[in-house]
Amino acid sequence: MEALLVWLEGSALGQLMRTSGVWTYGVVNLAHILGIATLFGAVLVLDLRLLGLWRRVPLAALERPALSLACAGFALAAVSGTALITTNATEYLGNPFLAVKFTAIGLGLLNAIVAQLLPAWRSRALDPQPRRTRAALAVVGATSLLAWLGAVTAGRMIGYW
Amino acid sequence: MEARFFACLAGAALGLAASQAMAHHGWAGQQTDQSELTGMLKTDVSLAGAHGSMQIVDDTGQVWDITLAPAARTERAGLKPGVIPMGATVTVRGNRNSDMKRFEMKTVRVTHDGKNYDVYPDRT
Repeated sequence: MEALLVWLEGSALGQLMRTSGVWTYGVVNLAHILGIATLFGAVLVLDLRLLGLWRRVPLAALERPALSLACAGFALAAVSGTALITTNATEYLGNPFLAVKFTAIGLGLLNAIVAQLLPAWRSRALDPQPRRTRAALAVVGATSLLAWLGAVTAGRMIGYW
Repeated sequence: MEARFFACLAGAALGLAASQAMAHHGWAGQQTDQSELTGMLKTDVSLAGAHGSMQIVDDTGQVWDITLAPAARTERAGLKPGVIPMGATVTVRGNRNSDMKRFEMKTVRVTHDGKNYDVYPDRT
């Protein structure tokens, strides 16, 4: 962990972040927040639908925009987040929220991948949905919500450790 | 739909008013009272990251992390890398971390060679 943080701080990106003016960190931070807002907002709508809210809105109609936005938001947050952490990477050494955050992100991504492989995901468009499909999708939604809420919470707390 | 939208707006306004009422002047995680600390500059002012920082050593040899204002604000106060020579005596005034095991101070004023750098003028 320490070696990784030292390497990140010494990277060309870290160097660039530290030497490119007093507004750079703030602007990259803004990109990070926009990425998170996009990702979390999209995920929230989809997860609540999977949990059973707004049943009259077809899942198929929600899924396309929600998943596209979530992916775009994640990409923006990941790129800007990498730049932010390289700035003073070694300062995060011993910060417990960092590990919690990346574990939660891992869980969120794993959940998204596993969900697409579930039989329930393939039968999600059936109307009416079989009860088991509905239950499985609700578990996917709840896991996703927990994971991303955890990631955002731990991420915010990093700065207050 | 329209009624729901206005109910939402009203809720937000109420929440905002409540949060304004609760706003206070301290810094979360820092002591309420300000204190002063004198030491030698050990790590030059850095304006990289969420806020500026530097390190000083007091006369017991303790190294202190001095947290300054956000980078742009610290720079506007005249404090930049290279302004204070390494090893020079500086006095900082600010709010110490409320965790006494942490030698960190969120600083409102840095004084060196008779010159004040007020990174938070409204708090000095």
